[in-house]
Order: sequence, then structure tokens, then C-alpha cells
Amino acid sequence: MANGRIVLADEGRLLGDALRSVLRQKPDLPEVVTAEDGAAYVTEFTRAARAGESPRLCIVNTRLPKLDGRAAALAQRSVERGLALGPVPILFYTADPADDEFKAFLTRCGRAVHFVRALELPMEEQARRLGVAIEKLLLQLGGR
Amino acid sequence: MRLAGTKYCPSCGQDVQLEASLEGAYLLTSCANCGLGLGLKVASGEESALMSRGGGLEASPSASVETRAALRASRSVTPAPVPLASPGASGESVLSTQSMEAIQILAQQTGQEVVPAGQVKQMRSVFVVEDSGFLRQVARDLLTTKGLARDVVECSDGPAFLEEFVRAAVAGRKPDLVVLDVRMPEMDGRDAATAMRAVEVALGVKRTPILFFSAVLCDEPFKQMLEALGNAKYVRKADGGDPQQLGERIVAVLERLVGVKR
Repeated sequence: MANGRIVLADEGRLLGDALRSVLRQKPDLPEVVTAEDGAAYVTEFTRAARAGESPRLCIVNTRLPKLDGRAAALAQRSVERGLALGPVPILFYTADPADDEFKAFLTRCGRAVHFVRALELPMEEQARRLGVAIEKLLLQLGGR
Repeated sequence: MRLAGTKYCPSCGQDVQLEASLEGAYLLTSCANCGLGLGLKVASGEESALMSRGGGLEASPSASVETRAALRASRSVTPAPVPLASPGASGESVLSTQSMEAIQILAQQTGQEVVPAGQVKQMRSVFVVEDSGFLRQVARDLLTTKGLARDVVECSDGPAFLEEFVRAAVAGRKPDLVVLDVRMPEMDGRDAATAMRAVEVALGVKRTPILFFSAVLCDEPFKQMLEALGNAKYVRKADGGDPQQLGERIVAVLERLVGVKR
């Protein structure tokens, strides 16, 4: 996981594959690395952060096996503090509407935003929209 | 005789303490929990160095100088071949003092530290993760007054624990034990334990023993989680009325989990 990559935590490979396909069409965007569950995500993040190769952006499905997206993100924040690193931005995506409780969680998490998936749309379209959100976020974060 | 250090037991699905015994020409180690033989040999290249004769151990012609010296030392009390075992009062086979010495010497040859029976093995550092300040204090008192731990680090929630764990692990000060409550706000003990295992994999450190100390029932899903985590045990807060009994139960579990002795 080289510096500047995007880490995608998602159980299914479908969205990850579709997202990679969308992002490949934008060659100036970072490479996407996937983790299929929350524990694997924490492992990969920790390994990269310890090696001084923190990703530029993390994209986390709130529903993940082994360790759900929220817990995995909180673990990530703990790892960052334990290693005296700044917080890597997190883009949560969820199929559920973001209620007040979730928004309060985002605030506690810090440097986190959310993207609501439109499940009724084909996977490719979901990935395209997510790709647009990522592009915008990276621009806000200070370029690609 | 119990050996320090742990080894993965496929039957228990976790790292376990080792019991050592002399069997024929071998120093055998077995799981302290289930008794499954884990087959540690006497020493590399020394598999046929010892042979059993007349109920005792003798060096075979191929034994190394070190092995012969170990055997001589083990016989310093009695010149006869070391008796492997003799029946105890209960009819169970018990190792003689000479055999224990032989185990000690041979175990040291194989790089294992021996913990003599009855000796307190004090843990260097224990993390107590519990949202109740009162219960954290109870756990701290138990661990320190019984001499089980030299240093107790208190954490009031899962994220704070993980942060402290990462800091300690990176600095080479990983705790010897983590005592985890299950029900905690923000991140429960199960998630904290899973995340800790993920961090251990990333940092390449051994699995830290976990003692879940909780009012949550240890049902089938919880047992499966313990198995998946590995090196994890459970003590129910609500059992055993008075603090003395609770303390005894915790220490009994710790004996199995990390090898501490009362």
C-alpha cells in the first residue's frame, strides 16, 4: 500500500471492481487497494501506517464482516494516535440514510464524510457516482 | 512440569502453556489445557540421543557431550538411571525429583524456560479495559495485591485501549494480558479484541492473551468468537457472589491462560 493510495473496505468485490474500473479511466487518481472485511482493513491500514505509507483516502462500507465499518474506522483512529499520525480522511458509504446518530459518529470520528449508495442503480452507476465523490473529495483535500 | 512460553495447540485452537514429561528417549511437551501431545523433541539432532532402559534414561552412543552432561547432572543425586515415574499416593504416575531435574536441563537445552510448580510467575504488564472506574479499580487491586502483575494500565474504552496497545506494541512493551469488558460504549470488547488481533498481525507480534470479564453470557456465538480470537478466556462478573470467590475464579482462569500460579 504505497503512499497516496486509496483503500477501499468492502465485503463484495463487485463495487471494488467497478470502482477500480471507473478510476482507471482517470489515470491521475490514486490506485485503489481493497480489504474484504473490517479486520483485514485494520491490518492493512496499520501495516501501511507503520511503514510510513498511510493512504491518502479510506473508503469504508459501514457494513463489513468481522468488524463493522464504524468499529474499523475507530480502530484506525486509535492506530493513528498510537503511531502519532494525523487522521486519514474517511469516506463512509452506506445504503441507509444518515441519521443524527450517524452524523454524530462522523463528528466524533473526525475527517469523515458519508456517501449514500443508491442500491436501485446498477453497480457501474453506483461506482461512477462514488468515483465523482472521491474526485471532489480529493480536490478538497488538496489535489490529487 | 510446566514450561514457560507457549505453543499453538490445534485442538484448543490457540497458543497454550506447555506441560513437559519424559517419555522414553524424548522430552515430550503437551498442551496444558487438553493434554494433546505437541511433540517437542529433546534437541535438534538429538532425537536418538537418549534411550529408555530399565525405567530410566540413558545416553545412546550418538548422544552429544551436552546431552551426556545433562544426564550426568540429572543423576547427581542418585547414581542409578533416572527413574521416569513412580506411582503416587493416588495411584497416579508422578515424576521423580531426578526426572524433573532432567526435564529442567533438557528443556533449557531446547531453549525453553522452566517454571517450577508453585512458583508465582508475575506478569510484567496487564491492560484492564473497563468503562466502570470502580471495576477497573477492583481488577487493579486483584492483580497487584495477589502479585500477579507488576504494572496495570487502565483504559476506559475500546479506542483508548487500542491506542495504548499500538503505542506499547511499537515500543516493545506489549502487555502480557488484556482484561476486557464486553459491553462498553462506542466500541465493545469483542470489536476491540478483533481490532487488537488485526493490529497484532500488522505489527508481527504474538497474540496477547485476552480475559473477557463480563456480565454477558458466554453463549455459543461468544464461544465461537473466543475460538476465532485464540488465546482468549472468559470469566463472568455475575458468578460467585463475593469478591474473594470472584478473585479465585479469575486467578484460576489466569493460570490456564497465562500460566500464573497461586
